[in-house]
Amino acid sequence: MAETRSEVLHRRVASAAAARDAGLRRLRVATRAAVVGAVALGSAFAGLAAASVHGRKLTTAPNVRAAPRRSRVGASKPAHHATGIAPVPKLVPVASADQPPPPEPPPAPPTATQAPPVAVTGAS
Amino acid sequence: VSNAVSFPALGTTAVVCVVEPGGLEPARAAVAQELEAIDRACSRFRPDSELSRLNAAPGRRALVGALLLEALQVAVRAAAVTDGLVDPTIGRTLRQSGYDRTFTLVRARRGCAPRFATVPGWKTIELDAERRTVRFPPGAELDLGATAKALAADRAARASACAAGCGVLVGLGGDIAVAGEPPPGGWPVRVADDHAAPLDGDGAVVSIQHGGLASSGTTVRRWRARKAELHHIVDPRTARPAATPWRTVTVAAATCVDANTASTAAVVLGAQAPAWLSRLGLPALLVSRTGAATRVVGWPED
Repeated sequence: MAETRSEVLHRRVASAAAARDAGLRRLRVATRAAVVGAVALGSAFAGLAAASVHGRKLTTAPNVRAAPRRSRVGASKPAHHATGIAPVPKLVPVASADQPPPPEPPPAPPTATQAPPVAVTGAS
Repeated sequence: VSNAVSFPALGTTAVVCVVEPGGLEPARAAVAQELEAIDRACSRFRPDSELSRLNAAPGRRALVGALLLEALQVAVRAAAVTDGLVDPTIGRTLRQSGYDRTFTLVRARRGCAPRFATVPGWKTIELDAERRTVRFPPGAELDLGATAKALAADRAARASACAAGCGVLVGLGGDIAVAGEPPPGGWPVRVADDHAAPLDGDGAVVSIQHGGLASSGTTVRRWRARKAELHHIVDPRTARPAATPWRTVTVAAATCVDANTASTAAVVLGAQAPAWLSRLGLPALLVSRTGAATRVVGWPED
């Protein structure tokens, strides 16, 4: 039995709609993939940038009071924890970044004296 | 110098000297109060001390009092500035080597079987100054013997000078700290191998005006263990008593803590110590095991 003209037209329209829907689906998948890829790449580059030019000097320089809330003495805890930036691999140990001042000399060295001593220094 | 008093404290002898005689009693009371506080916080031999409780619970983050926190910060700083030559995590090896009780009892004991534990290293200590917490790994034990007595001397000198209203010298087992206006000519102090040497004994007398003077040596705090004779200055690199050419090292510095840190490190460092002290600009007298004296950075001749 031959198709009527209207049946042929209807079939062609349905086929075109199906092709359009398939194209839209492919477009949505491609868009999602592009967004996910962009976010991943952005995160990776942000991490790299933070690792190479991070703010540790600002928080650990001498005379700056904004020390990290919790520091593992001499171990690898990034100082920019205090700034709220996401943790990144540490480049410089805290021990060397926060090296305290060395023992300080007295204002004047001891001098020899003939006065009777009031105390003794020696090993204990 | 008009007046002085001495009394036992921290397993040694405390000496308090004042410029004005009327200041002696308030100075003595202030020193005694400081030393009792340090003993409660930092003693390794008092079971009720904060340090003993801390050492009994390694691996856990523990809340500590302000004084123990300060003592820990001082100890960690000493370790940092000496590149680990003065390390507070030597506690376990020191205890297992036989120094597990007050030294009077160690000396009275007839030998022991020494063992030596590895030293975890000061970098394993986690200090949180804001929250006043500390944590160190299981297996580590802290010993603040290298710095706490000097810290006590510095704190006691400041507190007693304030209480007495005049210049004060505080001596704690050879660790000397002065505060306030010194007497004319400064404070005369005899330099000896043993802090318990008599005032009129051998050794040159030097005068200091400010800061601190400390001596470290291997001749005094020694004990027998099996066939070996050990001493209390541990080299953290070997976890054993330091093998050193020096019998006694005396250092002058801006504080007693700095002087003691440097004198202890110099004993551990050995032959390189004179150059190290010179680089830091610290006047020092180093006496070798044979009695030969090396003076650096303006330490006066006898």
